[in-house]
Amino acid sequence: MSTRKNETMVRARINGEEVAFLCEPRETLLDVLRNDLELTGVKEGCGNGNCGACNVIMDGVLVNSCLVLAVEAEGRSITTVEGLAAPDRLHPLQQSFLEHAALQCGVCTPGFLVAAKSLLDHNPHPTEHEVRYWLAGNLCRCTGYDKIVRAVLDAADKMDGN
Amino acid sequence: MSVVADQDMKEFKVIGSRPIRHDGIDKVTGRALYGADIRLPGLLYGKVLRSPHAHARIRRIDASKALALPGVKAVATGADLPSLSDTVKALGEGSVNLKYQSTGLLADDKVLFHGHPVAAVAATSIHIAEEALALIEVDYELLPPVLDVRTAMQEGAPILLDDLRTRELGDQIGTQRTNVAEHIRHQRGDLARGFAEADMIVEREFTTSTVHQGYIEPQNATALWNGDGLITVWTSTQGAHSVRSQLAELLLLPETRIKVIPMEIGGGFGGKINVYLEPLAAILSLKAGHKPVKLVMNRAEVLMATGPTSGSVIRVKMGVTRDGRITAAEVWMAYEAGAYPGSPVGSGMNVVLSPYRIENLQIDGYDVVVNKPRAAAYRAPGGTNAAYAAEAVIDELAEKVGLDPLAFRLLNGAQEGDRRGDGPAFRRIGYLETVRAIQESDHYRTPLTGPHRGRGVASGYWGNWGGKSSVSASVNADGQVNLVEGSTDIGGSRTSIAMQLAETLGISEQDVKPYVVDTDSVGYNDVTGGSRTTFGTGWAVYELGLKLKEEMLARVHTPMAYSQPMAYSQPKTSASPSKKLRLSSTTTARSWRAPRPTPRNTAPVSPRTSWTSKWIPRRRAIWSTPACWTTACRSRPICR
Repeated sequence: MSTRKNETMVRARINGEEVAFLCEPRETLLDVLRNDLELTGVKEGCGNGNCGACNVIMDGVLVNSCLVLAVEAEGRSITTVEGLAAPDRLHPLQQSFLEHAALQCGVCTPGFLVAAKSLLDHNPHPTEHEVRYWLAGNLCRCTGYDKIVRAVLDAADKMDGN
Repeated sequence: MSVVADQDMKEFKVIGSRPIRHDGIDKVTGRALYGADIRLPGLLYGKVLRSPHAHARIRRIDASKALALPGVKAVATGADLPSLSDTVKALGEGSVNLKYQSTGLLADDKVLFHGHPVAAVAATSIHIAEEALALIEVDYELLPPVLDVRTAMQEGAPILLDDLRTRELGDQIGTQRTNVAEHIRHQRGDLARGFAEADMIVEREFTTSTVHQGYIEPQNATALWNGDGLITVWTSTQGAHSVRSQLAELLLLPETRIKVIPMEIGGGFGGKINVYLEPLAAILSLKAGHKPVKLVMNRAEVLMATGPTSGSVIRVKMGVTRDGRITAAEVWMAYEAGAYPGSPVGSGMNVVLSPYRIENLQIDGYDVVVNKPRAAAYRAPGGTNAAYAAEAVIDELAEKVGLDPLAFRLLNGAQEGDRRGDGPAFRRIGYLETVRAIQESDHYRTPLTGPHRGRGVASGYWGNWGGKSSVSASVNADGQVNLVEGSTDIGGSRTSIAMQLAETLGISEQDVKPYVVDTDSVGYNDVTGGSRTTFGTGWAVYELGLKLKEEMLARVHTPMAYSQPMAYSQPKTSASPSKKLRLSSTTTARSWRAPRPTPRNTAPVSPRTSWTSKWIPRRRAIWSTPACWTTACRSRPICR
């Protein structure tokens, strides 16, 4: 937009694609993902790092994109919920969330999925305790968490089987 | 009318199954569009200036510097909203006085809570809008705030609303300026005699806090007030029709000129029934020269200016005989309404002590304004704090007379014919049966082991309101059905409603494609709230299914000139399949002219239902029915 101040060009790899975008230094990664790159699967719930709805994976690290400045994405590799599924099939976590009815309103779901993927990337065989601990940074007000935890454990089992 | 639930569960094929929800793929891939995800050509971004004071008079607002900032397209203040008369409007869960709702949206001459909107700005970017807010000058005269009901009810307390008078026991209107909007009483029996009969009396006072619903998705609204006078609103709401009627009344416009498009909603819990941003977005759109304007709250705004449920003070006094029979109960409850009248104290009065048979009873309820945002519905509005207070006293009484909590409830529990605290007699409720079932359950009887383990017992009352629902469906040539509904899907109701239509039609729920559509595209629907949607909209869809079957049978029947009437049956193998029709076989009129490639012996419509009907009329159909038709059904309000 023409009204931006002190625009900076940032290059990053997002969901496997090389992208370049212009942003103001004060814009967050979340702002840019949602407003400029049309990755609106990344949600804003709190804007202060409490709810995890904006979780993305940046160079292998789970981050709240509302707490990352867009300029910090320079040269990084970022995965959002839009990058989880293969062209022809869902990621096992996505499939498992559907089968276990691990979502109700669904607005926290992208963050949970990305956080759970990050967990399984680090620890393919988590215990229930580890799943609950890892997902403590994600808030859900509808489900009560139990089905989410079961969905993640089941997905881990199934991914192990493949 | 026979009720579906009377059938044995074994009769059901779809109900009771656990299908993948229809909107599931979109919600796990990030494709589902919530209110904040909307983008439109020429979109402007809005922000709201909010009062930093809980109670103040506005002497002056000067927005000239904000308007001069490049990129700012419009500024709106309370003066831009029509002034409304004193009219109370029902919202489904709770009600609202339109005059107060309007001044709550954008302050008039006073701000009544921290976060009260004072002005709104539309600009070409959200950052410019934020900068513009800082340029709006507001001159406040600070007033002492009142933050709890005890203080607000005291004589000499600072008064929030100069024109407020207490509505006392129905029609009497007080003459004094006050913060008490209403006093309601339910009374029966002889309280003094009841307490005199008691061997023991317990009286306790409880204070509960203001609590926010805490949905993860903040409120949002995008509006286009078009040059032709038509308004389109995109928003996350529990009821698109409710948003439409609130907008019509707040902006003094005919409902027909407003179209509300419900986006996906990220939780509501009662908090997304009232409008907050929609009228502001519409006014800004008009003032900005018919450009679309989007407003999204941040978390701080959500917490300071929307929702919450009422904080309350509740006193419960109860008497029992030595053997545990309740002789009398007296309840006094005062609920925070927030800045404007309308707390759910009436609902709390229905809930408190309703599970018990009490002959001598008096309940007094007070609706009290305080300097907080206006209370909104929240998960059984007003009920949870009331039940908490009553049940704590019930537990204490049971302990004092030495009875197990369940035995105490069996002795005093309400059953068919007993009256609730607010009057109506219960029909069959099954409460005592439930208590007996708990007594027999291992969950209750298993000995507790280890530290930090215990069991609690509590009883509660809540009513379902039927409400109004409209649905329509089109049966397509392939035998599948497009279902159009207006009930917000806040946690899977697309699927639960589709399942009920599928069950009625005898097809798989995957052959029903449900859509939640805008207010122009479906008849009136009450909000998704008060535990009504699965039942109320479900009933509408059940009647719709019956009507569809009737209509389709009539159409198949007539030209065939069969001597015997045909029956539409559930799709299952039958000894006489020639008399069975299946949905797709009544819709294949086109295929006589151009037979579909390899119908594979009427392949099952879905993997779940394997129909083996071999009966397909092979004659050319002589009726000129289009390959699909539509029927609509509107359920009556059902009060039970």
